[in-house]
Amino acid sequence: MNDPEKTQSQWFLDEVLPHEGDLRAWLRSRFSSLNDLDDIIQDAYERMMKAHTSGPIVNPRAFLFVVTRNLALNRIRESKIEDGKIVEFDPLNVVDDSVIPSEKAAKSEEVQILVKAIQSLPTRCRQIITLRKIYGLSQKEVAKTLNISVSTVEAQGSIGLRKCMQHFRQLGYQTRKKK
Amino acid sequence: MLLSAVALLTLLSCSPEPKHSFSVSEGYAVNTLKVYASQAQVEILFDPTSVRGIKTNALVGSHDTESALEIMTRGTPLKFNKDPKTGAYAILLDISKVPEAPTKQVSSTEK
Amino acid sequence: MNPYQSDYTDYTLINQEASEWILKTDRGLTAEEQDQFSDWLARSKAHKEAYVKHRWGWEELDRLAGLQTTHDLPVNPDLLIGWEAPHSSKKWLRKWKETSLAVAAIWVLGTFLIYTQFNPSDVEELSKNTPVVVERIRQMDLQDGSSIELNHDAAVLVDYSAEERRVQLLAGEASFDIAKDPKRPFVVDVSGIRFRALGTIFNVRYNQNEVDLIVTEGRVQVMEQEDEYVEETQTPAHEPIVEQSQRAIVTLTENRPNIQVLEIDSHQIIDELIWRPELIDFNQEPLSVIVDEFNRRNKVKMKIDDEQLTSLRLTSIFWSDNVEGFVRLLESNFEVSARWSGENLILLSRNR
Repeated sequence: MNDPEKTQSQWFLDEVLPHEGDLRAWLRSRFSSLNDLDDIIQDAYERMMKAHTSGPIVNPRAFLFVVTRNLALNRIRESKIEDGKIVEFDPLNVVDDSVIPSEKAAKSEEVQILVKAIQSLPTRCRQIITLRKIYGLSQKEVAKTLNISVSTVEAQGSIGLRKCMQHFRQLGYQTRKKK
Repeated sequence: MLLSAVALLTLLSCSPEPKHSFSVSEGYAVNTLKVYASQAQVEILFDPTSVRGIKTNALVGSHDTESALEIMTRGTPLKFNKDPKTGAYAILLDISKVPEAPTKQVSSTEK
Repeated sequence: MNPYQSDYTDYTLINQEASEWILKTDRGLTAEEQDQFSDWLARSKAHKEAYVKHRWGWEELDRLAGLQTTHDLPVNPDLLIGWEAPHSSKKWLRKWKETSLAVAAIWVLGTFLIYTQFNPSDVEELSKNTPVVVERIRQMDLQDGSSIELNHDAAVLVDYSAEERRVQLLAGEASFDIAKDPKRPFVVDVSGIRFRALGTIFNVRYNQNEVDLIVTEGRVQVMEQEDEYVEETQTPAHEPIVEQSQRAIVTLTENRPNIQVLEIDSHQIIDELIWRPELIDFNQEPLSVIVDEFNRRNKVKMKIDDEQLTSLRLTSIFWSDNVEGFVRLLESNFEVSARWSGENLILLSRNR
């Protein structure tokens, strides 16, 4: 664990790259209208590496899919800023089957604080953040799942974020500095 | 290693209908349906009174569970419904398919 | 939004606005919102900083993506209630690259059906079917002739190699029937505890802080899993051998697991092992007989709440643990109506 560069790429090779095949296939089938899959995947990788250098990632595969999907959805929305027909109800069930969450990451102080922050939220906020962040559902899907309006998801989501931030502050949440 | 485990699970979890080898002779549904179930390795449920006297077709060869049942019940007044979650089948009499004239179902018209 | 005129910066308001913008960008801004957002950002350095900070916080939460284990299908908004970090001090998850290359590891789950079934508030849900593509795996037959039966809640990872036959019980309960192989010991690892067997039949239940082993045949040794990262400075702890008709209860506490070995009689064994699913075969039996059999074997019971139904006769072949499927078929095909009464009771009556 001496050479940070080596650890990074080793992690990438072990934990991220093996999922690319599935990721591509899944992107192609769900987001057939998108052309620049490579770009999206690259962006996702960049995001992953950035996150990895600064803290724990509980489930690299899930993280990868969730991040990629967010990027893909953004791309679609940007290109059709009016009433695009976005196929949104597509719950992210690629992430739950294969990789078990990393115990090491789950036990880390950072993850404990993240979890506590969410646990301390009022019910609606907590549920919304759980569905949006742990399961990677889009806001529309969260609304549908919880049977609430999208504006509630948005409003309660932002309250949830603020409360989490307070929690982070109180508990001195720090991730490692980016190397 | 990771990929093979994923593939395996994908196989287990989203596999297309598997096929089974069948060999069920023509006969009364009360009996043949159970033979079918054990060969198909599937759960079934039916009311034996309602299917009394009804014969099912012979079934041989490699088929998936649904096609197999379809073949057995083709041309008979039987219908079936599947529980999508657990894959169990209920087999019933389809009143609309019961012939009006008392067509002999049973052995007297056998070849 | 009021423009700020002095040096006073209302962080509360700015934070509120920043977090609202985060959520808006999260679901996609409209063209109009894009403009508003740019304006807001441009208005002050404090806005930019607040946005960056909240963006960081929002993205930090992504670290938890995929925290759920596969038991929690479908999505569970209350996932984190009572969630605790894995408590074991030993590594129970082997890194993939350490797995021997001889055999692919198989990751199998006991069931995907339970969540909806055991949710008493979903009275209507019993007959509504959300299509689920996965298949309940009750029994795994392994290449050496051993077999593992999985309870509903089981999560098992099989890892056979040239040196060792290893199974990890990550959750739930499983029953093992192990073929003899003197060259390769068979081990079941559960949260830092290792059960080692040679040719035996035994049951392991992993429930929160306790691991319960029942040996029906042969012998099983209870050990602590080796921790490759810890120097072996201590003498091995108490490593009892559990024999036929004995039970070991391992309590997982902070420092060392506590192992208790007890005698268990055949009645108790039957009671404990009754979960093991079997195909039950009924020929023209009244519903009451079928219901009784299911009830013997399942925590969730059915009750016939209608005179008319007791005499309904059925022929069936059903897994003893498939109460859910049985009830659904009754509802959709045999004019039965089912409703929950409490968490573990389903009442059956004739549809009028």
